[in-house]
Amino acid sequence: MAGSNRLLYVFLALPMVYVIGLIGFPIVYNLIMSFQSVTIGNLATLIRPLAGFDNYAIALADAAFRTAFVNSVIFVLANVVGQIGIGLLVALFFAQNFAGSQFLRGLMLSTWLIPGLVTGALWKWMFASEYGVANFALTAVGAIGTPIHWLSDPAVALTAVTIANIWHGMPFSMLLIAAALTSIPQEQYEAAVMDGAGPIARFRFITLPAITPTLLAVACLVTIYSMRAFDLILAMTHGGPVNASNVLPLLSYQFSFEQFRFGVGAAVASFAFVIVFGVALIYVRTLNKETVG
Amino acid sequence: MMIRTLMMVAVCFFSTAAVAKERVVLWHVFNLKTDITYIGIKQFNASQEQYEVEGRLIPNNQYVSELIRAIATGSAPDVVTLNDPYVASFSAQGALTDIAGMVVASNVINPKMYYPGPRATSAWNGRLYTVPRDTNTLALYYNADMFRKHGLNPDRPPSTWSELREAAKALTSNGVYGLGFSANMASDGVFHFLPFLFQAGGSISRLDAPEAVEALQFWTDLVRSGVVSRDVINQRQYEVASVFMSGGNAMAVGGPWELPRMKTDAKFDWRVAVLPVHDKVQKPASALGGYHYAIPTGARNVAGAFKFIEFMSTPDFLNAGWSAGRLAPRSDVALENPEWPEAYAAYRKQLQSAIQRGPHPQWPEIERAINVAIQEALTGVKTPKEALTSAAATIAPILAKTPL
Repeated sequence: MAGSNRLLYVFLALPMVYVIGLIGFPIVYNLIMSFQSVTIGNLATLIRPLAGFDNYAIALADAAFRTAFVNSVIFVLANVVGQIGIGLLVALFFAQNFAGSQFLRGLMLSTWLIPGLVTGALWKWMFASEYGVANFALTAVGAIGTPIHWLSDPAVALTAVTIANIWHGMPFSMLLIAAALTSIPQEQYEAAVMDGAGPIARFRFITLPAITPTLLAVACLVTIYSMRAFDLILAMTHGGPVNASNVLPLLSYQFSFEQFRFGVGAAVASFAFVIVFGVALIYVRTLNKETVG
Repeated sequence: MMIRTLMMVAVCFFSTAAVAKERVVLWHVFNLKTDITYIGIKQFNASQEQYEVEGRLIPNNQYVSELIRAIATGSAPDVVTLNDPYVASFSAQGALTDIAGMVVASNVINPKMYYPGPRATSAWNGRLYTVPRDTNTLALYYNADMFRKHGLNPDRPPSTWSELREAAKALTSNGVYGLGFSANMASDGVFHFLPFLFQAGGSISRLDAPEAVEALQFWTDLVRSGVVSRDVINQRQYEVASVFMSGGNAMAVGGPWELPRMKTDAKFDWRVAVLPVHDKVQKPASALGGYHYAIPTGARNVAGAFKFIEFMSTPDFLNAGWSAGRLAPRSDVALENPEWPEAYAAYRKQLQSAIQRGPHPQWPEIERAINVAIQEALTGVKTPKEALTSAAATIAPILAKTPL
């Protein structure tokens, strides 16, 4: 028995090493950087002059940080609601099992496979004020009189990048929800029909309770994916106009790699990490309750 | 038979091993095959037996972050090409090798021969970190066909701000904007604004002065009156040139590196003129750009790296840069029969009044403050005066620490 115990520790150690090395180390490294004054010259060493809370103070005092923080919260919430809402509708649609439904459902995933930079470039063209297809379509149906400056109006830019990111990420949510839908036993629906339940009641009392854990998991994943959706925004607006479409990860990138203020960039990344960590914690707690209850 | 073959293989193996050349890794951003980088590497490798240069092309928008990553992980290349506004950040933060000693001993490179702008960028704090590779500046591209169509004289491009405004107005028509420039939230936006700032008599250290406000007001009026697209705040200069080539702009601010693309993609009579001047100040001005060679700290083969830089710095190579739209960074080096002769003359003339960015180790921060001001004004969030006043307040402590 002692031998198999030893083997158990080996198996336990492998994921621990993985988690500490590949997830724990970057987080700790980032945290250390956020308390140091880091330059291109001392980037290769770990021992650098201490900066105390200076980097955090600089980040908090920057108007861009406040805008990006609020934008991140709006961006993430809109993405969770949009991606799950639309994803659920599309998943229910494809669950109708019409001819070609499975093929089309698979095809939709292709948008998720496109790199964010490419999706960003694509939507930048579609959202162009004059020659963009978005304004053309809206004008053609008479929805708007004058063109919307999707990416050059500070009041609209965040909406524009949010729409693009929902389009980009929705199929992923849809696929996970679709998988959950197929796991619901058909008998339950048949029994409900016998009892005289209509489609809305069937959705409300059978489908929704059955897929709630999945929806929670998807919400958590969408939050995490949205929190790092910086490449798409980089390609579309670079966070502009001014900082109207800037979010924390992009701001962190800009501090680090455009302004060479690595400490401040790390401090901004710490804030983003805290948000994601908080959401992950809520998710884990909810799952625990589910299994206990 | 078998043994003989094996012996042959062994002989081949050892003979190549004996002349194995030292590897010199070069990072660059030049994707045009006509760029001197490609022919330079080939000729350098063939010219001597000691070093073998390996070029690695990295897309422009990833270049700086890739380089920083390489430095951070201790795998810096031996030679890099750096865009001039970032040189001071790298040299002041100790990321580049001081090459003063090697330059003094060199028969090819003499810093005194270079234009003052690139020369200033090469040095920091009494040390020498880079050798200028090429230089460039911004001038005005214009569509002569559209000039004719709207009753303007294509042989007389706008020479003052008011002429520029009037021409832009006349050229704006269904789906075509009179003028294009980059006002994006990155270095391009500032690069395109600086000529106007300098022409008005403004400077970066006095951004809240009336001259600077006038320059930003001029831009704002052009956008607000609809002769410049509002989308310029999202257009990189590459995209501004693309819009011009597809006929979406009648005029566009742009650099000489667009010329090879212009040659193949612009299907109309396009020309290049020096930038207009402010009506009253009458001072020609533009912004100066260009690339430098530098050796990062931690480079494994400093000697080989410098040998390659020397090889690339002969007048012949500096002149050959023009085939990819790159001007020689030395005033004494000029082509007799250049391709695009009118553009060559216009850019060389514009170069005389081009002012370099910085050098300043915190240039990216200064740049961002100006970016924000430009976008605030163009979108109407603030007036040009308010926008520049806050930019000046952001920049003041930076300049108090290290003046321009």
